[in-house]
Amino acid sequence: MKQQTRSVNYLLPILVLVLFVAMWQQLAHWRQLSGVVEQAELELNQLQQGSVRYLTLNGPKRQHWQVFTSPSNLANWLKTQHVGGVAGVAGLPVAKVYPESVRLQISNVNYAALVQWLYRLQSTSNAKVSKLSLSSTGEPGKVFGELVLTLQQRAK
Amino acid sequence: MTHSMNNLWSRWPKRFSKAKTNQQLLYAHNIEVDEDSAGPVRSQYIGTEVQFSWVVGHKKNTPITGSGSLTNAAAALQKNLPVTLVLPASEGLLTKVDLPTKKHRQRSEALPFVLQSQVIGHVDALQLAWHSHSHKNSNSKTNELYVAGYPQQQLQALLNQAEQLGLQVQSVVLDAQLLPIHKHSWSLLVAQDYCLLVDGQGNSYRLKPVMVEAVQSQILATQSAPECIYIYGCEAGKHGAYDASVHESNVETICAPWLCDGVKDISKQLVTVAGSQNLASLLMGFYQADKTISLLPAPNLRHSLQSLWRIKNPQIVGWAGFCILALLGVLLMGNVDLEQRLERTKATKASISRPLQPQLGSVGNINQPLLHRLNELALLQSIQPNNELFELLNYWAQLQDAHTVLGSELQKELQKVNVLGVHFIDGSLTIYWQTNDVATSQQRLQQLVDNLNTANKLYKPHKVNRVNLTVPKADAHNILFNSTSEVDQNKVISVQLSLVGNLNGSEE
Repeated sequence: MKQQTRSVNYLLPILVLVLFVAMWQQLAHWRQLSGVVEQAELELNQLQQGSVRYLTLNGPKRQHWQVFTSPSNLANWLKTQHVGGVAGVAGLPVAKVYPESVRLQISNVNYAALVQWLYRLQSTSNAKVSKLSLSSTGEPGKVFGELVLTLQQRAK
Repeated sequence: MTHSMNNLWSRWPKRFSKAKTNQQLLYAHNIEVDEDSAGPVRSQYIGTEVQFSWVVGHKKNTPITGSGSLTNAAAALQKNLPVTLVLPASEGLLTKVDLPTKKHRQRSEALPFVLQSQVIGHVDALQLAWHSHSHKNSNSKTNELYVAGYPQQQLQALLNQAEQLGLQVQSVVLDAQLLPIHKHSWSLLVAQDYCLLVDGQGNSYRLKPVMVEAVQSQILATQSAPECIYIYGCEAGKHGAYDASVHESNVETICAPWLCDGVKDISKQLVTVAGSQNLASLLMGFYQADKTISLLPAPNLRHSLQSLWRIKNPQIVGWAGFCILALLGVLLMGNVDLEQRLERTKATKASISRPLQPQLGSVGNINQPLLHRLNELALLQSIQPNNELFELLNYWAQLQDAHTVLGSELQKELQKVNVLGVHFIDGSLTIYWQTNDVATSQQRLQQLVDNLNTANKLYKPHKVNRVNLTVPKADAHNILFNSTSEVDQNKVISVQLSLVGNLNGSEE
């Protein structure tokens, strides 16, 4: 009996110490997990609100709409474009990039395709036709001239 | 010769006198180990043949002293306090050796060989312990070791018996080393049938009266005579009750006449007195843990650990353990719940993100790309639609169609009409038109513009601000016609169109 009591005297503190260490670990885990869950729920909340707003702004249908941050950004994008995308329509070489605009040289471009491309560009981006001068090349439907595009800012 | 009677307890070291808890000392005065007996020796401590005296207390309390068997001592001593066990040095070894090394391991290995000449029997049978004491002589530095030893078998038996009786032996020391050391003087403790002596060089002895003269001669042969002999304690013994006045006047006669024969001319100082029942108190007064050699280095460590773990109130610890266990359970459940919430959140997030990821062109967390895209869409949404060019081109197309219809009646003339170019700037569209009959074309176009402005409901809100049907002179727009040199500029008319009012119909 005395031996058992002594064993309890020694084992009980060890057991309590082990429990305390385990509790401390769980407490640390709980604190860490709480932070992670809180962050995840916050992100989910933001995502839910964002997705609703995305649908409200007709995001899926406006997937290809874009915002040009600067004229040089627009100029880089223009280098990859082919007006009209149909046979016989050449690209639009960028003549010069100004601080607030981009000037393009038009040569032997299909007039209808050009107007259609300009309409689509202006409808799906913040680029705006500020100046357009076209002349007939003599060949039916083909024009040459120059085009100046500027970027629209947020309406105040 | 001077004699003084000091209070016994005034000599307690500060460590004891300041101690808040009681200290316990157990002194076995008369153990005699039989070298030839090979049998178990533990039983000898239970009987009455071995006498113990003990003391419990500290300076602030009246000490409790007693004497008797080990069983009596166990009953009198407190079980929860450590005990310092004092054994007779006559059965052990107290010596001083000089070892050049300071390393513990090398000392342990060398010590048995050094001690072999001083011990009768096997050194290995002794439990050895030592204190190092280094000091510089004029020429060299020595490393002296004060060594204590006691037969292991007897020591273990005694410790086992003490442990069985519930005593917590913290340290084991030999009695002769407890006496204070006075430089160039001797310390002497006189008991009934033995005495403890420390010479001027710190060597300790426990002697029987018959051996005193021999030892005294030996000491005096190797070192100079002491300046003084400090005498501690006087055993009343067969003289009956202790009488301090007797000892003060005749200390040589009563205390140790045998000692005084050899050192007749040396001054002697009776420091304190004690009866047999106070021997333990006297030794406890001398005891200084840091200056004595304990034969139990390892058990001390064990005892420290035991003390560390030992709990005074298991119930409190039990309740604390229960509370911690309950808290642990709550935390475990909370963590499981949090992990489930995290899984649910991740699943919901994935279900929302999956269809958006291809549209946003990103993988993983789409919060940032989505936020960026929303900003872009909001910007595009906020931009006021500016389709002046296309409105005017549309208007021009209608005008041209109407002209064509009108021209069908005058086929011949119509064939001569030719658009040379368009120029758009600052919301104004100018069309350059070549015709053979400038006057008729001007009249007809003006008529068409007027009709369209009033009749066409689709474009009703949009009015043609001005129709300039004059033949252009050399102006800035003439560059348009540089490539068409055959154009006769006298037959070119320009139609300048611009919108008034916004798309809602209000005019500016």
